[in-house]
Amino acid sequence: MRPPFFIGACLVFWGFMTEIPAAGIAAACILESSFLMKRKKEFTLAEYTTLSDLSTILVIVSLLLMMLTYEREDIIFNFFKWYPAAVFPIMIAQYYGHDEKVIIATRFGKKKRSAPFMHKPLTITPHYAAICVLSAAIYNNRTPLFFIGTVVLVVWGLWTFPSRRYSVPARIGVAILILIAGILIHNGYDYTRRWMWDQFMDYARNHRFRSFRGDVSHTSIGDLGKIKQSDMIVLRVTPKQKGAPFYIRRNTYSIYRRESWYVPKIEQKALVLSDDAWEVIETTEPNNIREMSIQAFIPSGRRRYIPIPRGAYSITKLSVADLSRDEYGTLSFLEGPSFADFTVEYSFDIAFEGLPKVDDLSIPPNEKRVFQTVAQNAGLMTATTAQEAVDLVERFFQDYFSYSLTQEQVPKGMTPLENFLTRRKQGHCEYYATATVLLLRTAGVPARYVTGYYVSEYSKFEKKYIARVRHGHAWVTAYVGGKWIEIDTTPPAWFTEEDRNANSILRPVKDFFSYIRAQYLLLSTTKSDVLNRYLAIAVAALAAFLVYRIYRRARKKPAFERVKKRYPGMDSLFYSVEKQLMQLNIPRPGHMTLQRWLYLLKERGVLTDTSTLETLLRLHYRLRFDPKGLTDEEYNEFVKLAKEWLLSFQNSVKKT
Amino acid sequence: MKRRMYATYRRTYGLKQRFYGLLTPQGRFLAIFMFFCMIVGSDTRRTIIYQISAILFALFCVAWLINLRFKGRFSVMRIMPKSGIVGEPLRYRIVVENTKKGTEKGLLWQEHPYDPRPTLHEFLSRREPKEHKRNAYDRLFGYYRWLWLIKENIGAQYPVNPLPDLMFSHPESIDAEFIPLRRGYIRLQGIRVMLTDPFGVTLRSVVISSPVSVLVLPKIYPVVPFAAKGVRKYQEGETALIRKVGDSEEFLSIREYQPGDPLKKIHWKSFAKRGEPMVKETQDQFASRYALILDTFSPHGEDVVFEDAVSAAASFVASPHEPDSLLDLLFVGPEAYCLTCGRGTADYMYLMEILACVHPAVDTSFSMLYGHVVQHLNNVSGCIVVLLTIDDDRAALVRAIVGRGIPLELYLCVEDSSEAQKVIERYALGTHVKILEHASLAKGLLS
Repeated sequence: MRPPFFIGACLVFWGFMTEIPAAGIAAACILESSFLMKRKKEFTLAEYTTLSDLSTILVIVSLLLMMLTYEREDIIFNFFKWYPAAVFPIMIAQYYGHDEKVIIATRFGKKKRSAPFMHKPLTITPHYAAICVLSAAIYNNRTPLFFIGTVVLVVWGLWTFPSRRYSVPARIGVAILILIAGILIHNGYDYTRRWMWDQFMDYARNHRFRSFRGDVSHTSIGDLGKIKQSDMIVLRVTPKQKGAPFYIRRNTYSIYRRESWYVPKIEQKALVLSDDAWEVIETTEPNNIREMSIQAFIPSGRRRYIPIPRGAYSITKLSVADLSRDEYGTLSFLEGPSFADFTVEYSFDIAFEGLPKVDDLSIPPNEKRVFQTVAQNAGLMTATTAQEAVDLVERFFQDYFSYSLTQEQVPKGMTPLENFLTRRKQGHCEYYATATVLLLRTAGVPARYVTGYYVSEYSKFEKKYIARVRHGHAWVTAYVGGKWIEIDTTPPAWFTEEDRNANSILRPVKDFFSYIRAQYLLLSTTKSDVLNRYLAIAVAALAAFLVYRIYRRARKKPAFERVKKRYPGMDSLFYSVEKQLMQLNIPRPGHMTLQRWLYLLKERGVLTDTSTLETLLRLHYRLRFDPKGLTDEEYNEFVKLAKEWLLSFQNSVKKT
Repeated sequence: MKRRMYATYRRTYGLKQRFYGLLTPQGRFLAIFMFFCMIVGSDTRRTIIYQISAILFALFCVAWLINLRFKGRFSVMRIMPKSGIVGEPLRYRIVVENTKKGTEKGLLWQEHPYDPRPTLHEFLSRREPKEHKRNAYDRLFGYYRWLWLIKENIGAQYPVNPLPDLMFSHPESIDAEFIPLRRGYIRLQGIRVMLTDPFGVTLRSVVISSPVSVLVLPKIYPVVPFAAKGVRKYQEGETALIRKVGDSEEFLSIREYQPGDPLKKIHWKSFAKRGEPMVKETQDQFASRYALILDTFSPHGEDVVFEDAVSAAASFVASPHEPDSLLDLLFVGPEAYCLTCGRGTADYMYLMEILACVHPAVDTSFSMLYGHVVQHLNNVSGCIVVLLTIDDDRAALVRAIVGRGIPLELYLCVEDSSEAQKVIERYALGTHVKILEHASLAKGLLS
């Protein structure tokens, strides 16, 4: 049973919550005024299909329009805001149709003559109510009215459930109880979620889950076998001045624990946007100003880190809701796209990585002994200046170490770094960067671990410098002579080695698709008005074409209905008699036999004598279902009787 | 793979039934919606979907707590017919008594069948109708086969009905019905008495044991009588079968014993007088005996064509017969069967029961039926053969029957008659075959 005015209430609620009350009220009026119709329409399968397809088109068109009109982050909110309106046509069938249940069907993807794909009949009122409430919730209108309104709608929707066990006051009491319990759970929900998230993150940190957060970098130190990374392009750089290769930073870390690097809790400074430019650092005109455009995929996470060159002081055309810089000079945002296109101005003369802290000198206790020994052997302990220590470390790795992507089993009792430094002397950039940081720290030089990309590959096709996933690199920043300098101790052969390792014949194809994807993302993030106009025309044309096709189909009976089988007696005059009897305002439900209906009409006093009708019905049944059918005489008598009855009935109607 | 999937389906079905046992249909809808909101709305900063899940969670908690109080005790008795027909409502009465003090109001009840989960053997051996048309993935995982087997084992649609108010020690009689969906035995464990919360989202149930079995017969249609076309034939050694009618007991003479005469034919009085064994000769025994041969070698398992064939066979069994005729039902199940009824041998209901429970033959070949039929042809006056398809073996069987001059009615059950005619022409069986199309089975049997 349908709760009275329930769907109307849901639509009004949706309208007010999503700040389009007029739409909500109008839709509610349309649906709820269906009770004014005395006779409901009997929808055919073709009509159900048309309405379903119309809803589908509206959903697709609204999504396309949202994509054209809004920024990527707002698309989903606005799409769901209008979603109840998009699927409204099928609700028309539910409320204005004769059947309790509607058929969701589609002919998209079906051949012309075949029947449509269809779901078994169902009452979609609860589904639509759920869509309305969900749509209101996604719009994120944080008022207490949402909570109260939802409780009222839930109780309203369930009120019609017949219960002889519970009185109305008892049910109202239970509804109030639900409201109170809901408030308690609601208040605890957010707190619990935050608590669980923190617990999960702690667990993840301690158990070395692969990171999806930028403030933890789980290295491949200690992993066995050969490392093979993806060829996917993640960064595109167009420098204004020559000077490749470029080191593009993503994050800086200072705490090393169990083969992972962590960012300690450091201060985040919110940056200010002025004239479409984010001012990363307050500076007057610096020397050696350089500029580059960057297009980058930003990995997901609680904070999203932006790849920038060292010394960046101004970023333009970056469309994010917020941007902050931490003490290490790393830029990140909370809300923004997963693809960014921006221009950055930088100068190596500017240093804003803060002063060294205790963390910049910390060495894990289990590595201390090894690093002291190695530092002593390399002569680091006798270095008088930080610069001398840096030179010694660079020479140390240059003389005795080589690059390798393959790692073997670490002997028992040794850490992977100890194995790297004392035994194997081969490794990839994470080994070199980590070992360099810890060696410098052993020598008393503050140092940090930096991750990012080493950009040196030039794409002739795109006419840009590109960086792939496997160009991800780790290096070191050390505090020397009162400023932070960058040190890369990884043997220069690493880039060639990586390239050889990842050589694939499909690379040009992959690169092409990567380019297409980047262009699409670029368009969706930086929409131009001209493009929008063309796309809007294309969408409108597409919608018009689809609606025209549906309209044509609605006018023309589909093939699967046209070839309906004819049975004997389907042209029986009794159907005209039945049509006349329908006017007597005693409806005949689908399950009621004609015989029973006649009895009912007589019992209710609508018809005084049904003997002729009974004779007609008997002959009609024989005409329809008896394999022998009627004889010619019987058929003539049947036709005569039916015509007489119809005439007398019409006369009596005219008189009354 | 199927064994692993079977274990998974079995466990999942158990969980699903527990879920279904705790929630009403609207409760299930809301529970799914709640879980959806919990997942989608996990980020409480972006949307307020979490508020919906909080409200629904509160609703379920309150409803569950309210239902906890229900601890009803009842006794049930069913007054049921012995059999029903597929697709026809089976009407019966149940008498429910509240055996706990107080009055129970607003309860619901539903029939509770035995655990419908199929055994591993069933899952591996039975094939869903039209399974051959499913894609390789579906055939490999057998999910649709599992669903079909569950539906088959449940066997009927059991509606949820309200119970009247039940006062302590006041039995209430209720009219009930359900619609059997397949033939064979339907076994019910008891009835499930349920209470819902004030908003009808959660359920608390008590299962009252009351085991019962009902035989569901195949659909029966009127058929053209066959008996008139047959002839009476000598039925050797079937005195018992024709004791009541006909000329079986007519005494003819006494003669000397010849080796091979059955002992029961010895005339003991003459033996005593003559001192040598004498046997009595009776007039030859004649009776009309018809064979109803059912082809159970379904190429596609238990599909509609097989069901039509069983229905057709049942319709012949249920049709009026000559009073002195015998009817043999020949078919192959796990082994070859010949079951006889009529003239006091067995009730026709017995054959109906057998037909209600017949399944397609698995792991046996059609030659088994061929040999079995040929053995019986000497005794029969006429044959009704219901085939599922026509191929070399089946055509050979038909020719064997026709070759012996035995009147034959041959029915071929098909889903769509368009292809059948060509096959019949290919095997030159045209004059004998009546095609029973699925859509017009009743008409076909009457023609």
